[in-house]
Amino acid sequence: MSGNITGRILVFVLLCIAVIWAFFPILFMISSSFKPGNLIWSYPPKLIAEPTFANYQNIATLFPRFWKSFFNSVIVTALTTALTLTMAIASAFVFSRLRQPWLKVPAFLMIFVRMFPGIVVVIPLYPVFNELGWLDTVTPLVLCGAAFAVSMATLLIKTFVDDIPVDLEEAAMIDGCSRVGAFIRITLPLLTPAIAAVSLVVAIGSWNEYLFPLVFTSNDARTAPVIIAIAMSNEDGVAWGGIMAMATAYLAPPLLLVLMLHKQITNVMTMGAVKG
Amino acid sequence: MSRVQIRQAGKRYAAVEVLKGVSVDIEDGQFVVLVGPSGCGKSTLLRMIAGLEEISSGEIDIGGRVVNDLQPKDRDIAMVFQSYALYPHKTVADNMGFALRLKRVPEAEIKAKVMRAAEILSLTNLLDRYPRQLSGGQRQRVAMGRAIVRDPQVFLFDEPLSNLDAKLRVQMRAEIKELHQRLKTTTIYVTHDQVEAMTMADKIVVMRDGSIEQIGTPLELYDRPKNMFVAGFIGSPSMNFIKGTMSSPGFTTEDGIALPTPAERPASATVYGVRPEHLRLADDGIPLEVVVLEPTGSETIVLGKLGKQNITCVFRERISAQAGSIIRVRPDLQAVHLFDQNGAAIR
Repeated sequence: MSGNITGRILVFVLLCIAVIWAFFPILFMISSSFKPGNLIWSYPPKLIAEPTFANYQNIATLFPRFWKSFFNSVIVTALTTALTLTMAIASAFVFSRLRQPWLKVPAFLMIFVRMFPGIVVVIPLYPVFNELGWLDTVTPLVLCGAAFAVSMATLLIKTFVDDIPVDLEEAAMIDGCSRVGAFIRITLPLLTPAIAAVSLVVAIGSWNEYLFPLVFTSNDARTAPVIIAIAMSNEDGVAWGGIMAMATAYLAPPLLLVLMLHKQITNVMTMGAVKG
Repeated sequence: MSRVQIRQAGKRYAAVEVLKGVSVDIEDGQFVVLVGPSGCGKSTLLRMIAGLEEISSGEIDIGGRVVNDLQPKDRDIAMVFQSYALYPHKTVADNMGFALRLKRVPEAEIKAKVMRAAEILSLTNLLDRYPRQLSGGQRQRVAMGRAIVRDPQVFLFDEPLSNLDAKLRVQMRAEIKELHQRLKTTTIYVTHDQVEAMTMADKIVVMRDGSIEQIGTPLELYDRPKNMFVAGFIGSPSMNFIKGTMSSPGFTTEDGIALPTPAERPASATVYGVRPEHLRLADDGIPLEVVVLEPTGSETIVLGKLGKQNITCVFRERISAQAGSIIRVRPDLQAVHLFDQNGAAIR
């Protein structure tokens, strides 16, 4: 019994260390964003001393391109997620429901393309996008982001489609649906938790994307990660308070998304735990 | 008219032929059971009728219309699946009304039809529940309700009772039969359970390895099986098959035991078939060594040895023989079946 309690305490302590390890940079960033610049590196450190919103108010002055880039990030993430999910759901339906031997070829190609490092793809695409007049627009960011995310999203969604009995679609076909109609009307609503979870993965991947906007954009279509990175390499010194405020603002949308989809994601995590 | 005619229907997956040109004629309002062991092609045939599998060769005609190239939704059929296939995110009422909603039937009419089907199947209190909140038997009823509301030309059932426990299966069997008697809709029912086939069917189609072995009424199949497969498949426990030869006094087993034979004694007979329930206790009968005795209350099942061959007997009487003791049994000569070396019945 005492061994059991000792074990539990040990697990608890280890978990606490892991949580502190994971959350320390985030907590430091958030608390620093509410401190005057001179107190951020003060010793001994204070969690929040004289909280102030000045860093947030100064973002527009210190980093005039940030809010525009923030908006670009939202647009690119929304479009990339929507495009990726549309393609991934359609592909998952094909790979799961049409058991044709030739489908092994596109399945292999999807995974094969995913194996290329991003920089290898960027080099030949740059002149192409230049020729198309797409540089410094969100178009190449959305297309490249979706192209990279679709294989993993397809694989994830396919595993969930596989778990939904095909009988349901067949029953719907007899009830009056076409094959695709049966998938849309019956299987798709049952995939909602899986789609929510995959959306989150894709959206966060796109939100954090750095390489494509760095290479394909220069001004109008720049996204927030590039602007934040540039702000950190200012020759005149780093405005840490402003940077911490920018980073905290940049953290907010994914955090909101996780909170919004929390219930659906929990459902996915417990899927298959109980026999239906 | 909802007559179903299957003409030389075949199904092939690449080099594998799973259905070898079968033909069945199902009259309007008939209850036909496709029965056979796993892998015999009965579910494939049902799915071909439903339009869920393509027809490789031959024709399927429903109500005077060849449906080979029609989508499932255009065949005017309803199907009850082994897994019930209820839509988990829809209530019972929405499950039952789904097909009508797709047809854009007015909402009031849908409600009336769903309510009528629910009353027939005792589901009125469950209409707002979700499938996960129902028991196996209730789910089964909802699946049938979904089929009923559409008022189709043909009902298709694909082993609908196999997920239920034994007691519920007997109850649902009776309910399905009663439903058919009430609606008189042509029904095609697939099962591997010969008891289900015998108790429910107007006509049974016995299948094996993608071919039809025999078509007939339950009693035709029981009394006059065409071959050893049908004879062994229909009836529970299975018919006893005793190997031997026909000689001038009668049939002699491989162990040299003489068995009483009908008046006609075809020389080509090599297998003597007698059902367990057609063996009776008789003081002057053939000796049978008791191996296992299984009293069920209503009857006693005896597993015994006739020479080296296993024999099963079912007696209405209660007997108290011990394992290893000898009982004497006599076959009912009217019910003896003789088969040639190819397994075909000799008449």
